[in-house]
Amino acid sequence: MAPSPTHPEPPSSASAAAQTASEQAQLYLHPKTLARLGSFELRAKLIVEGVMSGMHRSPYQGVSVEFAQHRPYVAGDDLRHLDWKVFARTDRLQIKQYQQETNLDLVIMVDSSGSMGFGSNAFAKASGAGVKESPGGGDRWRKFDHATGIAAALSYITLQQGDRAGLAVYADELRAIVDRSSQRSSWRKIVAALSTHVVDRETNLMRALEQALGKVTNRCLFLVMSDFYEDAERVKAALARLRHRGHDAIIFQIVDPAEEAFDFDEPMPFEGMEGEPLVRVNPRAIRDAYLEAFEDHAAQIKRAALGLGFDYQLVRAGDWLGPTLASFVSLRNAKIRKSRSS
Amino acid sequence: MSFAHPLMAAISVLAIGVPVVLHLLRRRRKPVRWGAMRFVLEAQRRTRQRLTLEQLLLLIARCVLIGLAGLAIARPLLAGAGGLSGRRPITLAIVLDDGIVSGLSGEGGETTLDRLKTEAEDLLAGLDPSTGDRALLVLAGSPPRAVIAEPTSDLDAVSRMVAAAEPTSAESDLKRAIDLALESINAGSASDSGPASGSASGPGGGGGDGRRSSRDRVGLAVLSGFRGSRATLAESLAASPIDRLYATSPEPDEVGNVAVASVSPTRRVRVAGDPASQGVRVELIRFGDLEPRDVEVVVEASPADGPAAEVARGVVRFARGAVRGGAVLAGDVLQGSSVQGGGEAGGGVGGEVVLRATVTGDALPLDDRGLWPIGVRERLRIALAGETGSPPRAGIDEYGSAAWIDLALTPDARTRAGLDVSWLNARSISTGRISGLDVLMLTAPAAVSTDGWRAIGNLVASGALLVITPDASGRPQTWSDAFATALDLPWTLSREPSDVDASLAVGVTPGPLRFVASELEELAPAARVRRLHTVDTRGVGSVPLTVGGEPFLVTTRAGRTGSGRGGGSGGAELGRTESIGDESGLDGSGAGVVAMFSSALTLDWTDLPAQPLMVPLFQELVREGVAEAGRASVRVAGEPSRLPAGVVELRPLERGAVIEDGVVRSAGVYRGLRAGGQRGPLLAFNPSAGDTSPAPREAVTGWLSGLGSTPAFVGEDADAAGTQDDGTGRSIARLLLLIAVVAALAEVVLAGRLSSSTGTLIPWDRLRAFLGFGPQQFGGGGS
Repeated sequence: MAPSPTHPEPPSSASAAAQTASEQAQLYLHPKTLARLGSFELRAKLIVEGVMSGMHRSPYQGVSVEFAQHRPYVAGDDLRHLDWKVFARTDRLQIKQYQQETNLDLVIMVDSSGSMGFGSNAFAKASGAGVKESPGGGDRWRKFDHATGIAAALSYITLQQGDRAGLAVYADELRAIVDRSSQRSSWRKIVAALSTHVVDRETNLMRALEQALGKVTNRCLFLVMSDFYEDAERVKAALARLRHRGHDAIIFQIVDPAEEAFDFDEPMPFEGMEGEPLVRVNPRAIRDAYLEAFEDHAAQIKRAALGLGFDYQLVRAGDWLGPTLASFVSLRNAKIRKSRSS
Repeated sequence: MSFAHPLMAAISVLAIGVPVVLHLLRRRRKPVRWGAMRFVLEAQRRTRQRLTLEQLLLLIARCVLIGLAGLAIARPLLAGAGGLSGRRPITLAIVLDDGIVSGLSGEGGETTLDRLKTEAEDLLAGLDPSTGDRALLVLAGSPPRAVIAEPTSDLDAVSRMVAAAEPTSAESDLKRAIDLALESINAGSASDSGPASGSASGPGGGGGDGRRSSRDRVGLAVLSGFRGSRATLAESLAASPIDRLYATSPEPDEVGNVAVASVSPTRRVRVAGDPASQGVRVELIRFGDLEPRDVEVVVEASPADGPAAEVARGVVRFARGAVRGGAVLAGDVLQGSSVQGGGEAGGGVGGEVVLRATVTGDALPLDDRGLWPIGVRERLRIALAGETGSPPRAGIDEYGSAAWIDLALTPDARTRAGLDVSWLNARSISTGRISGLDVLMLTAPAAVSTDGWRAIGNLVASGALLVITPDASGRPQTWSDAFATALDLPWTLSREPSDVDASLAVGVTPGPLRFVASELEELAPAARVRRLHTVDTRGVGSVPLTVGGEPFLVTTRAGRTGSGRGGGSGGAELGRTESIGDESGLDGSGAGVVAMFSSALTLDWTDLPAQPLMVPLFQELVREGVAEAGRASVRVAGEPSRLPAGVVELRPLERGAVIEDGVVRSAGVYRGLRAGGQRGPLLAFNPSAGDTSPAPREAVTGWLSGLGSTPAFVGEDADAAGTQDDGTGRSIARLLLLIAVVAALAEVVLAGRLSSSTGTLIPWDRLRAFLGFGPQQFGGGGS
């Protein structure tokens, strides 16, 4: 069921909004709604619930011989895994989870380099009416804002499903890290870590991955969210390093629509956000060359990711997160099935 | 190169810098913080060389576009191309034909001159004095005169002078007018390199400085109908550096015109005893229509200041193809005049009657009349200056020259009635004694004192007749030098007489004896001459009678100008001499006539006194000599002449301006006035015959092309639409505009197709942004 483009009036308070959003979660999947809610926790919850509801299929559908734990039933869960006994005793709907389904360790890596601070959409437009500035004070919906939204939502989903989730925020190196944990309380730590700011540093994925890999011993699913505005070969080398260590990865390349279009008319000076020099260019004159370089770079990133067996998805800042998260859940389930079959 | 609009040219040159300025101004934009800067840098690196070239080409195209468009509007002018300011100033010389044919009336009564004045006004309207344009005006009626001789920027004054022009009675002299116009321009140009010239001459001279810069263009406008200019077109024009040559188109249609070529009475001086009726010869000339035609001629006579009365009427018949026709009409020329029957009482000088012959009924009325003044005398005062100062009392065999002359002048009572003959001792000749004489018969020149010769000179100069014979004594004639000096004649007389014994013969030029030519042919051979002094005339004068190939009678006009009978100014300019009997009266200075016999008129020297020729010879010599000597000259308007001796101005009897320089362009009768207001002779200025035959356009074009430029015919050629418009300037402007269009296309291609610009010069993007449709600009979001 596709989300409706219409949005209800914002709730008068956070609790009231949560109540309303729970009932019509799919209506709040638009980034505007997410931004309007203001809270990562509530945002992520609504996203996930909306996605689950939209899919009519719970990701909790694996079969295992070793019981691991219970978790609350969420809409979309397969009723076959409902523990009726617990329901009889406690009048709560609990889903039985098995050891095989909880062995997914998710490591979310969010790029906070200078280029992620770019945004062309107005925050008010991307976040919905009533909120004109980001929590950090900017009036633009940055790529970093988009990435943190995705990260919070996915970590929420992961924790909700009982998987372990960790976070690494990086630029030229790791800037913040949250160790993996399946405790739901760790989600707040993740959210807190995401509340960091972009730094005026260039991206160094290789170094960040090296540092992250130093803290990981088992196989994990790495979720890398970045614009990957660094040398494609270095990105490929970094991802190869990840593959070499036996990890799986999903690559979200986040770009801004303005960066894709580059449709400036007037000659003007451009200033890099990662220390590049100020240059005066004629956008119309270099647009073709720019777009060629841009698309070529994106193609290289995609080719590198797919070549290593990773999943790749191009995400545009400001777009609706639903397809992104749905894609993630689908990929995640496919990976679980794959791992079981292997 | 110069420009029609120099300010515009300057602006366009400055405007070339606009693209550069805009380019520099665009650098001052707020930087855009850009995430994908690496791609910007890479794209710039890839396109740097191409962009540099494209932008350079684009900048050039824009500068060329703006510059050429501005220059095209500024209307460039190549050197020597002609027309315009900011554009170079133009000095326009207008030659306006106000000759007699310009009075030809067309349909609606508009004359040719009216049309020419309109063309002149149009040309003047095309000038812009604020940019240095100037004009001068030359009127081509003969003799041409520069009414505004120095170029002036006061075009209103020129316009007023054009409007004031009226057809004259003189023929046109376009060649001299053009020469005069070019001289005036060149004089203005020459004065540019020297000290500043004085104020411009002429009524419009106050408006300009008269100086022409060497960079000024020269324009010449020849405004004429070019009728009757066949002779003029045969004269070649000297090439001159003229930038623009304008001309009015020749009037092409044949127009018939009949003019009075001449009118003359058989006697130009009437004295008592002359027959009341005499003949008046009228000659007509016609142009254009040469079909058989009868033209009625009316002859009127009037006192100089009285009403006219018709004295004769007749018809002149023109045969087919005949150009000239004439008739002799008989009538009493004194009929109805106040001088009839005696004229002024008292003195020998009587009144004047003016004969007017008139034809009617053609398109050019100015030449439809001819004038001739007739002197009317009660008596002619004649003095016989001989050895004794009194008539001889002895017999006829002792008659001297004076006595024979006296006898010839008064053979009967009727003849004596018109002549007042007195005797005078040659030794006593002085100014007081001979003042007022019409004729002095000097038969004893050797007895004349130095003062006497001076008095004789003054007498002749005032318009008297001097008849002189050698002494009959046979002594050496030493008076000839004093005579030649006093009369300003080159004649020389041999000191000693020669024996010839030959019959008289009629000379080649009859001089004043033309009316008795037939009598001369018949009577002269009967007279024999035995002795004479050889006369060397040096080619001056007429020789009506000869003896053995030597002059027997020599006549000429002679005398000094400026010393009139009434005690005119002394220190006179020596006047030229000429033959008597020149009907055209080219000089007509009023100087007297000298008639010299080379033989004494006594029976020892010749038997002429006893021959039948003697009486008509002297009767005719006296009357025609007096008429010739003191004639109220007949002249042709516009032809070169001088004021008569002692006359300082000419006052028209009809309306018109007082003439002080002797140049009369309006036909009419003028009274000469001497210094102090004394009345002088009467002069008639006849109109020039108006030749209305059209001139071929090709001939006019070819003639004017001799100036070195091809004429543009005003009102017909596009380039001659006005002095501001210049064909060359327009064509250059069109060429520049064409190049500008090509540059604009190149600019569009470079700006659009090559994507190397923000757009064309038309600021669509700015306009779009201004209206709110432009692309949204943003910077990197700061965190």
